[in-house]
Amino acid sequence: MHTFLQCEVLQSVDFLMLQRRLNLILIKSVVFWFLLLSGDLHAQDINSLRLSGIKEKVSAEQYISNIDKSLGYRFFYADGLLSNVYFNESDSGKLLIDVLNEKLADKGITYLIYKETNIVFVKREQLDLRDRARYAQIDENGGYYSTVDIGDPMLAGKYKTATLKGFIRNGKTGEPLPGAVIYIEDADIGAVTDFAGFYNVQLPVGKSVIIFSYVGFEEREIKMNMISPGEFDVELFESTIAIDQVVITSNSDANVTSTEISIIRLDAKTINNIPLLMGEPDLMKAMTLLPGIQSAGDLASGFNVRGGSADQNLVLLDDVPVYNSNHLFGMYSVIDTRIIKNLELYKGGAPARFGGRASSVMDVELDEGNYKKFEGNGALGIFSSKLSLQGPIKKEKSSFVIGVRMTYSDWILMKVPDMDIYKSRASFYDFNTKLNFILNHKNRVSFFSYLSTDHFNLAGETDYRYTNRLGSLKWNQIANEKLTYSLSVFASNYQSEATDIENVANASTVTSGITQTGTKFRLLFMPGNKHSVDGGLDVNYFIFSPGEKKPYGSVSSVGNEKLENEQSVQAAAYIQDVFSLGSIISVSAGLRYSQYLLLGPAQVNIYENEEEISAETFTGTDEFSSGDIVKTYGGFEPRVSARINVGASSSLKLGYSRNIQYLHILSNSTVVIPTDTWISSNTYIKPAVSDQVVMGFFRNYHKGGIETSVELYYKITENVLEFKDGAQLVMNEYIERDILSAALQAYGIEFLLRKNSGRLTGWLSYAYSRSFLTTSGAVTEELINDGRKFPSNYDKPHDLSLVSTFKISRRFTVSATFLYSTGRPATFPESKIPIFGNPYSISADHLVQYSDRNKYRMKDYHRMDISLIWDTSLKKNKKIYTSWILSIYNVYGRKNVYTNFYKKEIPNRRNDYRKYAFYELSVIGIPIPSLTYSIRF
Amino acid sequence: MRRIKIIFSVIVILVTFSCYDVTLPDIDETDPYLVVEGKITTNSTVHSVHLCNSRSFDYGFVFPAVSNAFVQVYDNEGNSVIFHESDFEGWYYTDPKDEFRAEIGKTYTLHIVIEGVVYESIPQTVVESAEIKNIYCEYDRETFVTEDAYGDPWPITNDGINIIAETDGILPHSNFYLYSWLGFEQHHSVLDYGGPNFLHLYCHRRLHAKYQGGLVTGNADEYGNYEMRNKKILFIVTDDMLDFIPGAADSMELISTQFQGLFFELNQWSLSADAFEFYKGAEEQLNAGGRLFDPAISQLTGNIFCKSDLTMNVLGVFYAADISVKHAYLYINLENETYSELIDGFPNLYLDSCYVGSRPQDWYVPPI
Repeated sequence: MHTFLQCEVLQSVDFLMLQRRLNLILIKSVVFWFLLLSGDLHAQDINSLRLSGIKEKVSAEQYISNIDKSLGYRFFYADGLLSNVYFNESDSGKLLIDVLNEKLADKGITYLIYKETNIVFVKREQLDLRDRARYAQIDENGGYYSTVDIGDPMLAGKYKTATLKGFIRNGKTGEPLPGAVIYIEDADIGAVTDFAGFYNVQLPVGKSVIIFSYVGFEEREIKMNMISPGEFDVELFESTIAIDQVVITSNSDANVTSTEISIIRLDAKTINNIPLLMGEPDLMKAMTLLPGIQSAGDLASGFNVRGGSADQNLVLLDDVPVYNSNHLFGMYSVIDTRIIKNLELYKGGAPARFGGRASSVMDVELDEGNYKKFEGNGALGIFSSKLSLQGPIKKEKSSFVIGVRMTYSDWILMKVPDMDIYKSRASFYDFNTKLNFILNHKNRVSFFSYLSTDHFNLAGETDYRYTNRLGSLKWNQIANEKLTYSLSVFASNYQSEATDIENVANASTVTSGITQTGTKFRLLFMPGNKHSVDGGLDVNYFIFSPGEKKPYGSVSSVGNEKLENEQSVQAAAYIQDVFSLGSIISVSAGLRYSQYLLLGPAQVNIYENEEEISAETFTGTDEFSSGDIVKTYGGFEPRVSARINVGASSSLKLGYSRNIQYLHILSNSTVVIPTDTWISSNTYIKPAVSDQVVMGFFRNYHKGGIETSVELYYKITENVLEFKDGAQLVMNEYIERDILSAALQAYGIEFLLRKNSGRLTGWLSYAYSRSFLTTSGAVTEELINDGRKFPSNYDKPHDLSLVSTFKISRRFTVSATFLYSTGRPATFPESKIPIFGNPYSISADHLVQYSDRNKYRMKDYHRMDISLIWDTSLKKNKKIYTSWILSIYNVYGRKNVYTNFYKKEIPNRRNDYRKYAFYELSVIGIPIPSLTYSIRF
Repeated sequence: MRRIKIIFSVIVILVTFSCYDVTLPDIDETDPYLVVEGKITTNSTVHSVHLCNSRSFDYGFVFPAVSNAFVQVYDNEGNSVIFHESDFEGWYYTDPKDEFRAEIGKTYTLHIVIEGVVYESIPQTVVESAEIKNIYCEYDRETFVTEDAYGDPWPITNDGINIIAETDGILPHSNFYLYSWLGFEQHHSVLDYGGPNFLHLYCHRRLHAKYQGGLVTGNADEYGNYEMRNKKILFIVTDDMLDFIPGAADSMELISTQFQGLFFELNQWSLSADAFEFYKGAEEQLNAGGRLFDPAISQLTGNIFCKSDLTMNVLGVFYAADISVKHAYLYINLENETYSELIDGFPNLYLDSCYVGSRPQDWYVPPI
C-alpha cells in the first residue's frame, strides 16, 4: 500500500537533487493527502466545466480557489506553481480543460484528473508518465482504482493508437517477470514481456481492460484510459502465500493463445506440492508426471522425452548448460526448487534460440532475489539441509541470492538391508550465487555461479565423484521501446571420477569431463503487438576430456593412460519471427543455422573401409595439428509452429522442428550414470539429427479453469548412438569399433486434462507412445537384433498420471498422485548353457544366453503417493507460518522393477538357496512415509 | 533477514527401501543352442571338445549331450586330428591317443558335423604365453554383508590375502589370457580328546583342493596397440571365516584349526581375441550384481558358427592355447606381513587325512 511513499529514499546529497526530491515528495504528499481526504463529490465531470464570469485578467490560482469549494471541485498544486498562469476575459465560455491545455503548454506544467472532479497540477519534469500512472491508480485506501489514465491529457485527441510500455515485476521482490502476458480482451491484443520483464504494446486510444498475468501469480485486471503513449509498470503477486494448493498457472489461456506447442510450464509451488520421496520436492520427478516425459524407474537419473535418451535433453540453468542434472543416484535433481523462478520444458519445437540437443530443452530460470528486503528460507531434513538468503545489495537497484544444500545420508544407507547399499556412502553439496544490478531503467547486469559436488561410494567397491561448475555474466539492455538485447558469457564444466577399488591389483581412477565456454547475443525486436522478432548468435567452445586412467593404491599395476582431449567450436545464428495472419492464425517461424568444427590437435584412426570398422581394417592414424579442422558438420534447423483459433477458447496448433546434436554420451546404461562420458561428433560419429512434427488441439473451459489438450507427434532421429554387445566404453581410444549408428522412430498421442481452480485441482495425463531403434552397418552380425527394428529402452506405450489436490478446509489439504505405465523393454535370459572354463572342474559354471535386445518387458509400473497438509497458520499477516506435511510414497508398496539380472551367488535364504537365479531389483519396494514440519517466518 | 523459513523433516518409519526377488521370466519357447567348448593346448593338458544342447531358462541344469558327432581339428598345414566321443560322458570328445600337441604359430580350426550339419570355429592361432615371473600376496580384509535371522544386515569381516601374479607382456606374447588356479592350504590342528586329562595332539594336513577357480580373464588389451598394459593379475582368497589366522604357523596355541600357508598353482592360457571376448562376457555375466550402474545386458558371442545355415543357434568357443604355469608358497604372519616364494611344484599332499604327531619333515616352514 502507498507504494510511492514507502519506496521513497533520499539517495544523494547533491543539493539540486535534494531539492528536486523534496519537491517531488511535496507533490506526492499532496497527492497522498488528497487521496486520503477526498470523498465522494457531487460536482459534474471537470472535463465539461466551462470558465465563466471572467471580466479581467485573473490568476489561475485565484480563479480556481473560487470555484473550488463552491462547486465541489478540488485543485491541488504546490505553492507558486500556477503563479504565472492567468485567465483572460476571452477565456470565458471555454472548457477549462482546453484553456489549461493552452495556458500550461509552455509553462512546463501538466495536470492529472482524478475521479472526474479533481485536478492535480504538477511540473512536467517532476512527474513522468510512469509516476502519473502510478499515482492515478492509488485510491484513498491504498488500493487500486479500476481506471488509469495513460498519457498526457494535453495530447488528448492527437492519437488513434498509442504505445503502452513498462515493466512487469514481482511485487514482493521487485524481480522482473519475463514471459508475463499482457492481454487486452476487447481488442484481442496480446504481448509478452521480454527477458528483462519489459513489454511494449500498441493500444487503441480510449478505455480498455488490460489483463496482466504470469505463471503462479495472481492475475491483475486493470481498466485503462489510453490518451497518448505512456508507460505503466505493474507488480504482480504470487497467487498464494501459504502452502495450500497446487497452482498450475494463473495464465489459464496461455496454452490456447500462444503459438508454442509441446511446452510444459511448471512453477516451484506446483512442484513443491506434489508428494514425493522423503517429502523432498524434485524438479525432474515432477516433470515425469506430465505426458511425454518418462523416467527409467524409481531413483533413475535423468528423464526421457518422447523416446529420446537422457543426453538428448538440454538442461539450462539460467541459460548455462548443465551436464549432469542429478544428485545421488538420481534421488535429487541438482536444482533446488526453492530458487526456481520459472521453468519451461519444450518437448519439441523449441524456439530457434535453443539448440544442441535432439529431444528437448529444459529452461530453468532462477530467482533474481528480492530487491526490496532481505529474506531467507531453510530446510533441515533427514537427508539434507539447505539454506538460501536473498535481498537487496542496494535497495531496488541490486539484489543477491545465495543458496547452499548439503546432504548427510550415510546413516540412512546403513539402514538398508541390501548389501551394496549398506556398504555405500553418499554425500553432495551445491552452492549457487546470483547477483543482479539494475544500472538504470534500460540496463541490467547479472552474475550467476553454481558449484555442485557429488561423492558416493557404491558397495565399497567403486567410488564416484562428479562436479558441476557453472558461471555466467549477462547484460540486458532495452535499446528502445521496440528493441531489447542481451549479451552473455558463460562457462560450464563437468568432471567425473570413478575409482574402482574392488580389485586392488587393477585398482584405478578414471576421470573424464567436458568444458563448455560460450557467448550469446540475443536481440528481441517487437515492432507491433502481433509481431516480434527474436534473433541472435551463439558461439561455443568445447573441450572434451574423454578419459584419463591412473593407478589407485600401491599394489595396482595399472599404468597411466590418457585419451587425447578433443576440442571443437560450435556457432549458431538464429532468427524467430512471431506474427499473425489476420485474427485467426498466428505463426512462429524460426530458423537456426549451426556449424560445428572439430579441431586439432587430434589423432584420427584410419580404416580401409569406413563402412567396416574393425581391428582388421585398421590401417593407421592421421595426425592433425593444433588449429587444424578435423571434421565439419552443420545444417539448418527450421522451427515452425502455427496456431489457428477455433472458437473463443480453443485452438489448433501445428509444428515442425529440426534439432541437431553434436555431443553424445557414451553410455550403455539405461539411466545416466557417473561414468558416462561426453564425446564429440567426429569422423565416425555423426551428429544426431531429429525431425519432429506435432499437431495439437487445445481447448479451455470455464475461463481457463479447465484446460484440455491432445497432441499427436511423430519423430525421427538419425545417428543415435547404440553399442555393440560387450562394448568397452571407458578409456577406449578405438570407440568407433564398438558403436553402431541407429535410427530412432518415435510417435505417440498425449492427452492432458487439467483443472486449475476450485477446491479440487490437478491434472490427468495419458500418453500412448512408441519408440523403436534400428541399427545399421556393414557387418550384419554386429547389428543389434540383426538389424531388425526393436523397442528402445524408453518405449513404454501406456503412461498415465493423475495428480490431484483437494482442499478439505482452510486448514487441511490432501494430495494424491497415481502413476501407471507399461513396463519398459527388457532383455531376458532364454537359454541356459554350461561352461567348462575351469579345467579342474567338468562344469564349473552355468551361463545364460539372453534374448534379442529388448524382446520382453518388465512388469507394469504403478504407484500411488499421498500427502496431507495441515496448515496451522491462516492469518495472512502472521509473522510465523507453520504447517505439517504427512506424505506416503508408494502407498501400497508396489515392488516396481528397476532392473532384472542373472547372478551367481552363495545360496541363501534370500535367493531360495539357489546358486544361480534371475532377480528383479525393486529400488523402492515398500511404502515410505515421511512427516515434515515447516516453519516460515 | 526478516523472513527465515526453516523446514525440518522427520522420517517416521525407516525401513527397507530396496529388495531383490527371485523370479522366473515369462519367456518364449526357442530352439536350443548347440553349445560348444573346445580347447587344445601346447602341453599335456587333455585336449577336449564338449558338445551339448542348451536348455530353456526355466528348465533344470541337466543338459542333453550331443552324441555321435564328428569332431575334428585341422591346422593350416593340412594336418588334422579326430576327437572321439568318450565312453564315460556322451558330450565329451577327446584325442584318444593323447599324442596331439598344439604348436605355437600354427592355426587350428574346429570342425564339427552333426547329422549332416557342419559347424566350424573361427581359426585360432597359438600365441606364446608370457612367462609368469612372480607370485606374491598381500594381506587384505574383506567385509561383506549378509543377513541375520530377522533379515537385518549382518556385516562379516574376513581376513584374507590378495594373490598377485606378475607376468611378462612383451610381444610376441598373447595379450589375451584366461587364468585358472588351484590352492592347497597347509594347516595344523589340535585334536582335543577331552576328559579330565587333556590330550593335545597336533594334526597336520594339507587340504585337498581347498581353493580353485577359473574364468578369470585379464592382462588383455584388445583396444590398445597390442602392448600389454596390466602386468599383474589378482586372485582374492579369503578363508570363509574359518582359517586365516595370521601367524598361526608361528604358534602352537590351542586353536582348533590354524592356517599356516597356501600352496598355489597358477595357469595362464593364451587366447585369441574372440575366445577372450567370450570368456570375458561370461565372467561379466557371472559377476553381475544388478547394481544401479551395471551396463546393459548383452548377448554372449562365441567363435563357432554353423557353416551350413547361419541362422542355426550355436554358441560356444574354441581356443588353441599356450600355457604358462607357476607355483608359489604364500604366508602371512601376526603382523600381517606377507611372505611368498616360488616353488617348483606342489609337495606331497596329506589330502583329507591327518598326520598326527610332530611336524612332518616336508612341512613347509616360512622363514619369518
